[in-house]
Amino acid sequence: MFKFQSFFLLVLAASILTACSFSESSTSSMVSSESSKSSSASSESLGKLLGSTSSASSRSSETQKQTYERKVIDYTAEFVTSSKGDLQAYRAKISKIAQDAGITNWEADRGTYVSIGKGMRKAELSQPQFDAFRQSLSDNQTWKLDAITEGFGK
Amino acid sequence: MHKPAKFTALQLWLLLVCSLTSELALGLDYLYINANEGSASGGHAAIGFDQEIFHFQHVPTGWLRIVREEFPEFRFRYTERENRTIYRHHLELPGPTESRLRESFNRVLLIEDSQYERLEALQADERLLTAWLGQYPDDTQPIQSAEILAKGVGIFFPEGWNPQQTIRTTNPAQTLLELAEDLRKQYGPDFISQTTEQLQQELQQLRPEPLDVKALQLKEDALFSSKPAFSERYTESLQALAALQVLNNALAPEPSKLIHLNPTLAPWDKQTAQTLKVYRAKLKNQLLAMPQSNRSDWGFSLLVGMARLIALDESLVRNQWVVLSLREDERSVALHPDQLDEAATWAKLRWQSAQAGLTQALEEWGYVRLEQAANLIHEIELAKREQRSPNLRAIKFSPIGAASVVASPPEQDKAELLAYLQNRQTYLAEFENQMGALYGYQLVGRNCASEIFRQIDLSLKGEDQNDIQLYPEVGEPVDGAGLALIPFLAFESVRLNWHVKTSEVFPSRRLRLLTQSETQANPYWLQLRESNVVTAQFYRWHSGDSIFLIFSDDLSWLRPIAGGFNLASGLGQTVWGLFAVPFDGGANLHKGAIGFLMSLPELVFFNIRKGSNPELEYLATD
Repeated sequence: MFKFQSFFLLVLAASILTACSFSESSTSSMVSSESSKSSSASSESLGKLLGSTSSASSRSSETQKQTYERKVIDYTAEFVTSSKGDLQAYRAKISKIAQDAGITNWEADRGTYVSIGKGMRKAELSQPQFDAFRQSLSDNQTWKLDAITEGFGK
Repeated sequence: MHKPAKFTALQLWLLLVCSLTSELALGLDYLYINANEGSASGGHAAIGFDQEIFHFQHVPTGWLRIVREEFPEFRFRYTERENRTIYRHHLELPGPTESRLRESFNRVLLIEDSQYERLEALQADERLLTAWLGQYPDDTQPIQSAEILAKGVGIFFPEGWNPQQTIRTTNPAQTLLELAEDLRKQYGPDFISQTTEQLQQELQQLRPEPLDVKALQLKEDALFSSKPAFSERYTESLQALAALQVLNNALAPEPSKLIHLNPTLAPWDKQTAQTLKVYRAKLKNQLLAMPQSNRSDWGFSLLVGMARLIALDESLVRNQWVVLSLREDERSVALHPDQLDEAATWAKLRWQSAQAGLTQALEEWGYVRLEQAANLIHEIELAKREQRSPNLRAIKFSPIGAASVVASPPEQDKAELLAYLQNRQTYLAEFENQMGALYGYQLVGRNCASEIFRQIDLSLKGEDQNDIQLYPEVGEPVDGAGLALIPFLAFESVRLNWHVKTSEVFPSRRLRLLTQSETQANPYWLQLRESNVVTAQFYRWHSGDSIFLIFSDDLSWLRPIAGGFNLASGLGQTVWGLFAVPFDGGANLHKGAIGFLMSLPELVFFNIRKGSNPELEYLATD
């Protein structure tokens, strides 16, 4: 009986040890020196590069747009309330969020700027803060100013 | 008829016939996913809000990382592909409480993603610097070139690109000749050459920024925000250079990067032509603005945009749909035979749905949908012609076109480069150290189940962790440090302590098919046929699963007997594996050992292994 109990507890312990799903993730290198380039390294690297992009079958485009806009809102809200505000960092992150959603040119997408405005509203920015951030991102283009204002005002 | 050993009474009482498109009611959902071989032998836990699911995965570094998914895909992956059953408790909550909880999990995701992105960027910096320095960083040999993978470059240079090489075009793309001309008219006749020269100088002068290890303080409640890392800026500059070279030489994309759709599948008419002409004009204006963009990654956008412009022009000339290929052949994953007909119908529906966006207001979102759907129907048709199974997983959501680019080192001596590398390595070591301290998986104290309860605590109890006013809306706090560490016990703790309104079961694929088929066939014959790997039709063994003979997940008192048979088969493979080591590198030995271990719990009525279906593809609907 004792042996059975020990075995049972061992199995239980093993189940705790291995609980939680493991994620599939490549730990390959994106860079190799010319002398050590190999096709396997390239394919591993491609796997890592592709890791963040889903297949076309697995994502609904409608859901993806909504998810993208919400990510822009959330990130904007978090960014504007954090102590460091580097615009280069902000644009780089929006680009990453956009590329992950399948959009290569977010600067031409009106919905992005509306979402940026919504993010600023979520962060409860003061009017002067809002004006400054809006001006920085609008590239002096009226439609971008209007879109951000629309998002902020809703 | 077999009865599951676990949650038997609950399953029989609560089993609902759920379609794969069932919606979740508003509120909070606590989910338990039962175990299977490989990814989670102890089961898994998740929390959901409406269609959004959050769960903590154990990543290869040994940390826990939060992931957010949509429920339909989450459900498909676990129940269909991994053949596991999902159990769900649903609570109804007041709107503000639900929002508060959902926001807190969203925020965790945002912050963790920012930290992981920075980590990956630092690792890329280290690799690039190491590649330049070579095997002997402190000798007198010159710094050598390295290779970087850059997205977009492969659309025009599929075999790789060397910025130093002169390109000679024998058949310039008219589209790009015109685009280059318009660019010069807008910004000046020397714009392309001047911008190219400027980028080359920037590349030579680009230096990794010094990183202050002492200032590094990662926090789980603070976004990590920083300028793009050195390797990111370097790659972006190379992409921009590649784009300008393509434009200057009017290079056409590699022919395999454009797909021409069968007109029978994708009819063409005057209205389509007119709509695409309007979109083409918009796209062209956007491309003209790109080199002046404040974004540092405009090069990739320009590469993709130029290829799309060429595709549009070909469409208009040929009166036939031509789009950029989204195929990336990193590995072949043939579609499950059961899904062939479904996939063909589904792809046609995606195409029809995408066509609805063909209006004068077409923008990149709408064009991307058309591009995706076109790729899917093309792949299915091509697979039919080539008499193979389609590889839908190779069709990506957006253009990637990655290729190797020769990265010449900047003008500096080895000692300076070595100093940058050492700075990066020190900083990276501390970064990883702090990430481990924040997110390390711990056998006792921190796993996917406990982390959910901890985040709920943090969210509901306020900053000082003393405010318990909101908690009664959920129920009594569950101690994530006790037995609730174990996912299936955590699920039971939720049932006992929270205000669970309803509970549901989403059965695994095998159990679902068994239930559905019982009305169509002799149930005893069906159970017998599907009880083992040899005669089962609902499961096909593959090398990703260990060898086993009998399915034990739907057995109760017979489970130890099944375990005995499975143990024997695992042992057999292990013994075979011992002899096969010189030939297979230990693959059979490893699999046999796993099979043996997975069978042991069956001897004491525990089931882990259920077989899996990795070929199944989730076909998202709009």
